[in-house]
Amino acid sequence: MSNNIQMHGLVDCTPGGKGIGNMTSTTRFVRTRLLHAVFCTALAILTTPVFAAAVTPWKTGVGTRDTQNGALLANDLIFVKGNGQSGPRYYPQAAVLRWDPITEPGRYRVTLRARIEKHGASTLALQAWVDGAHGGLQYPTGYGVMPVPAAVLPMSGYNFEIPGQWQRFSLDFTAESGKPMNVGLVYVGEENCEAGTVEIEKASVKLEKLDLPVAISWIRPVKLRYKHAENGALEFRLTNATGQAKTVAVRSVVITDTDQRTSGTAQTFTVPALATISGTVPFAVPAADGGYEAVGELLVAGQVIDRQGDVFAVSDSPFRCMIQGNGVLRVPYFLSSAHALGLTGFKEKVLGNWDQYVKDCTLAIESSRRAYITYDEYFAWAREDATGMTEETDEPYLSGQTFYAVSRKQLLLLNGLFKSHGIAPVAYTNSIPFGWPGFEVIRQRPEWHKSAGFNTSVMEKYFNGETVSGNVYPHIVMHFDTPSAADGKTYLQYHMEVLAASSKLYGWEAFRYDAGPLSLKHFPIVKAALAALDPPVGVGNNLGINVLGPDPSDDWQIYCRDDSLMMEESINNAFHHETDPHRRWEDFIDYMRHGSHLARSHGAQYTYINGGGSWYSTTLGYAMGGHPWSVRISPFGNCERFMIQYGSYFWDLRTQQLGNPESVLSVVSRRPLWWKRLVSERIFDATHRQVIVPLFNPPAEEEVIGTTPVARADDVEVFFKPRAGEIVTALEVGPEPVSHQVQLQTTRRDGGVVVKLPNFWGWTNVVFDCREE
Amino acid sequence: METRNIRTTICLLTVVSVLTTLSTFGAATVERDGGKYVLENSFVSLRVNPAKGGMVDQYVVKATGRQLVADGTFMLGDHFWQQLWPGEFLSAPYDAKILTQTAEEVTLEVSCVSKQWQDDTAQKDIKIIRRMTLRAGSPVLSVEVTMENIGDVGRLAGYWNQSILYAGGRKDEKQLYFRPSSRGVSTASYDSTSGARTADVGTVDGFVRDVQNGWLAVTGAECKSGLAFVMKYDELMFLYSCLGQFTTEWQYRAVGIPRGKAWSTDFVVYPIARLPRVDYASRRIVAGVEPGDTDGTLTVHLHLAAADVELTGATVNGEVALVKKAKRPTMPFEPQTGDKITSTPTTLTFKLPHDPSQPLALRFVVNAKAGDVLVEERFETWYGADYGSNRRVDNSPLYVLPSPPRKVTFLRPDVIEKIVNDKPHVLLCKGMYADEYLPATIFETINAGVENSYFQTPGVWPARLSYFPASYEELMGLDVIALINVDAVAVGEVGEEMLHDFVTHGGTLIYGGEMWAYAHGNLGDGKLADLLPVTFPEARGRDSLQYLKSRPVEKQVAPGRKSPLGNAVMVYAGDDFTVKDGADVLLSSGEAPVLVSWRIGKGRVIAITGTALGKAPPESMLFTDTPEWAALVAGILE
Repeated sequence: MSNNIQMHGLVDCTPGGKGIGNMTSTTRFVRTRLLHAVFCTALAILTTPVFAAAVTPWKTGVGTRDTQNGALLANDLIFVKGNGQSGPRYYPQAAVLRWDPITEPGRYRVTLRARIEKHGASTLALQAWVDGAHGGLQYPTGYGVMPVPAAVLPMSGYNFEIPGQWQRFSLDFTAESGKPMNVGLVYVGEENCEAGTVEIEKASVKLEKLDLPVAISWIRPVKLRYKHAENGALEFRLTNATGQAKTVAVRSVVITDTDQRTSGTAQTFTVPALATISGTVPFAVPAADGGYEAVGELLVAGQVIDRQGDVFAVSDSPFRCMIQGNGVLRVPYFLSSAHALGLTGFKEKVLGNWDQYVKDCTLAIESSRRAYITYDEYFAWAREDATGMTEETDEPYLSGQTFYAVSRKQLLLLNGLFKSHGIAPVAYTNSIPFGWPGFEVIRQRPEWHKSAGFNTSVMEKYFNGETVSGNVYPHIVMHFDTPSAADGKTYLQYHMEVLAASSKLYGWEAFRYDAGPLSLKHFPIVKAALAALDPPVGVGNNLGINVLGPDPSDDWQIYCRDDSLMMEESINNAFHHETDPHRRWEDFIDYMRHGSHLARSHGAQYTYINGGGSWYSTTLGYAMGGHPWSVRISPFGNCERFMIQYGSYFWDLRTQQLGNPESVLSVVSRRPLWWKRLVSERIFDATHRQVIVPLFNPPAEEEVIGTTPVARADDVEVFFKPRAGEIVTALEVGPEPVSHQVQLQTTRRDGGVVVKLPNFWGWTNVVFDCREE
Repeated sequence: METRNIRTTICLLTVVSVLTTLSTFGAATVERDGGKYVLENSFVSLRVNPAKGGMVDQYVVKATGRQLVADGTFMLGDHFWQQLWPGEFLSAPYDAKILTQTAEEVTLEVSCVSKQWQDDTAQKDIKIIRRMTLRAGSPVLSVEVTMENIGDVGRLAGYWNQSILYAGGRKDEKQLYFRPSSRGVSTASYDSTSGARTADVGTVDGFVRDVQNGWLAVTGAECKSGLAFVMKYDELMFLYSCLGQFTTEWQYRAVGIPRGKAWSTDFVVYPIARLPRVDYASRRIVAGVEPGDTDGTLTVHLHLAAADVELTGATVNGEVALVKKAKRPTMPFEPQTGDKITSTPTTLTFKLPHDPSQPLALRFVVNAKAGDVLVEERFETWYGADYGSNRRVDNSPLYVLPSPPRKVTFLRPDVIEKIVNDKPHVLLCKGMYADEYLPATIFETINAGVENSYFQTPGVWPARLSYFPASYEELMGLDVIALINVDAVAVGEVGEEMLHDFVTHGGTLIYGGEMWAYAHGNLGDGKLADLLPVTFPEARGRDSLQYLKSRPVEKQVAPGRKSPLGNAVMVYAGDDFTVKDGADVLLSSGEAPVLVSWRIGKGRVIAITGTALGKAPPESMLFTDTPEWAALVAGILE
């Protein structure tokens, strides 16, 4: 028997809403079983490329060979040098097989059956894309130009159920008018493939045009994150596959993470023959913070003929659904990447090439959006991080702490682009000057100066516009409450005025204090002042266990309460130092769990520096209610998309650590799983709670530098003992291989319930929903 | 005849004494072991490797058989701290020669000449000479270090000695480091098995910068054995333990070494055993103090051991000082006696009634005999009891433990002569706001060649300037030295002496600033303060600033007559200056002097006592911004 995976684009057109335990047609994610005999019959008769529905022929790519007397195609998935620039991360797609471009607009489906030697990482994908010459999106990476797929189905070695067994894959996509669509099985990754050789059954390779007169060819919410006061909108493109103009209707449907649906009013659109049009329809931003899916329903004569959508989050806080990182592309010549330019180079490359720069930034931020990034903090971007955070002109300047070349014009562009996607631009700040212009502040108001550290050699270079590298910044310790004789103003007042003016100019959604934190006395004052701005501005800290200690305290409460952001930086040492006390996964999890608990139990969101981390440390953080500071992508599923949609299970502050989970839970599996330190409880009210049980399949290594998968987690059973009088239902919520939430069948045993989980590779979760009778 | 008999008797006694020593303890020896040298007596054995920094690569304590030098590393490594780590000597080949080789004493000398480090020639041609002496009958290794300038010009160097040790002979044993600070003994630890490092307040980076005395010790936490290093306090600057790297280190202040001159210091190293902690070490004794409070009684266990030869007839007096109370009243301990103090610690116990909320200074005086020589050792340490560590709320020490007097060596050339230049040579030492006080137009007007030196506040190392003349040859080639907002620490005691010579031999010194100058620039009562034409009260922080808003600055045109300096104003007055007799006030703002000058010897000192702080109203300018100011200063320099 083999399996069948069908999908309609993971990138542009992601799966639609998923009813709990009811995988409707909107999901386009189906697993079916086919008889092995079908394969055997087909194998005997198919030896040549298939012309399905008379669409277009396919060809083999470099390194693909015939085997089994021409019945099979095989490719060792070894990147062939000369087929693109070499490099460790990304390559131009090398096709195992691909079709000639499809020029006729409409909805298509490609299917094939494949098998792989063994489980393992690879970036094999069945995908559809438009060439750059025809307006297709492309990422110009340092290792070559990467076409951005319009639709993609990962065929990583982990997506195969059983090595050596045939498995059917199917991808739907829409060719738009005037944009010839490429489709193929392509290899987009490293030189080595842990999954070994892929084989494709020639007879199964099929490309067909579906009978859909008008299709949603692209759709997503305008923003990835909405604030409550904002107006929601779905933007989309409709493609008419017929020779006549078609009038259709589109309506939005917003689906909660508990499958509650709210439909908008349908609006009509006329799509000319064989044309593609763009449009938007509004939707009401939900009243509750959380994760949602916005689906567009395409109606003809009142009947839904197509349904596509994508996820979004709702919160006024930039921290609640924070995912800090970047997409495939980084914003060019921005902050650290502008350091080498100096002011002269910056003028030439950025300001002197502005139109192209706008395009490049737009594309880079689009890649962040597609990676489900919701938060972008600008490190040390200002002339001075506490006293010099506005500019009167667009003339480039050097940031005071870091000697990065920056311009107001650049910041305004980027903040505008980020905000247009619902990505929060956040300003790094400090309570005391860490930059050279701070010395002019204390020259004019010397009463504020307490002590300072500096090197005038570096200062002179700064004011001469020369860049310097390394930790060369000064610091000025200030008297916060001493009025200046000059105007009676205290430094604290001055600092708050600077923050207010900066947020007004640039539209920051939050300020995050770093190495120069506000004192316990001043933090609430500044926080209240920022909250009173219109729009309100959030505030974060770099204060974790290493600073505030391991026990609950007034300090924790003051810094955390009312939705602050708390950062743990020292945990990152575990990845870099062999002797770090959190070097072992066991200790790392304990430490992160405790840090997250301290922050969240005092009312804050928790973030941790994950720069040296892995997809394990990223997703463990998610499961503990944290927000990794820079994400690492899981090879098993899109965890960032998952968190945008289902993150409330973890990020909702009603979700708190469950003490002594072993008293009510037990997990049986073929291999030991991580779960005990991860269990949380989400309390809605006195009669309704959820117990959330994250399950992680540990790597082979004991230390946090190791991420080697050992084997799939099979035969997992979770036992839960509810309180007396509670009725329990169970869900599986997970990111693998795509985000999903399905109802699990519960079996009564020993006064509790038992659920059996589908197999998984990395991370999944069981949610026991408990309501009093 | 009588004299001859006495001499004969002394000689015989000496021979008998030596023979007794040798028969009891065995001789001291030094032998070649391939390219290395082994110094040995009945207490210790150490191996010196001239090929690699002249360093000790093995140090064995014979009583335990433990080898203390960490795997593949070294002990007694030489560095100049200006070169940072690793510097040029770490793997440099040294010359070696045996200076003394008798049964009573052996001395091995190793030496190396600095060839410069990377691009820095500031220490080039300084010869480092390290003489290591081991005597029969003593576990003490005596080390003399000399820095001799064999080059053509003067040099400035700060010596740094570094050892990497497993104090108890085992890497997996937790290491304890004891370093005397002005707040009491600073204790740090490192456990390589867990990676855990601890350091008490004020030493988070491993340094003790407020060194209180000239010693440091390291022990293994389990075996309670290790090593003590006792050095002269005179030029000692920092004590350091790089936690995680097993190091025991100390640095001396920079010293100026004119050509042909040499600077020397010495220190001793000896093994210690069975001490739970170390609170004092000298060349005679080592002591650990363990105080504790129970039911209103303070009990102090004093562990005393001999560092070198045993002591006899010891009497120990002690007292406590209630350091939080006004006038710090004292209470004496009951004196204790001990017949003999050997390398195995003797524990004496003292008791007194005590309220544990009261922090104490515990003071001890040990009187004993070393042979026939009377010995007195005084030391004290901090005991916080319930008060905790020695600090106030603002982190300043509640009680500063006393230190021995310092005797700083200053090496001056035999002949000092000012060089006459065609055009003025200026060294502009730029602290904060230097360009405000001395705009470039001043030096353009007098057609001077200006070399900039930059001020850096303390970090790992003390406040410093990027350049200051290391030699009199460089110093006397200058005509003007300007120090604006440059902390006196950066000039250093050597620099202050040199500045004095510079001015008295015809140079011009300009001094000014506010937040990092005068009282706020650690300008105490040394040579630099003597040079200035003003005095000033102690630093009072922001209270010393007086807000003038925009008071005019005026020139002194004749006795009792002033005229405005353009539209110049001063917004803030700095320290409350008093003009010294014989000095001329050239500019003032109300009662506040702004520019004061006088002559000393053949030279001149100009003190800028006004401040460039604040913001002038639109119709006026800060005096330092006016063209009249630049013209005035240029005129004085011309």
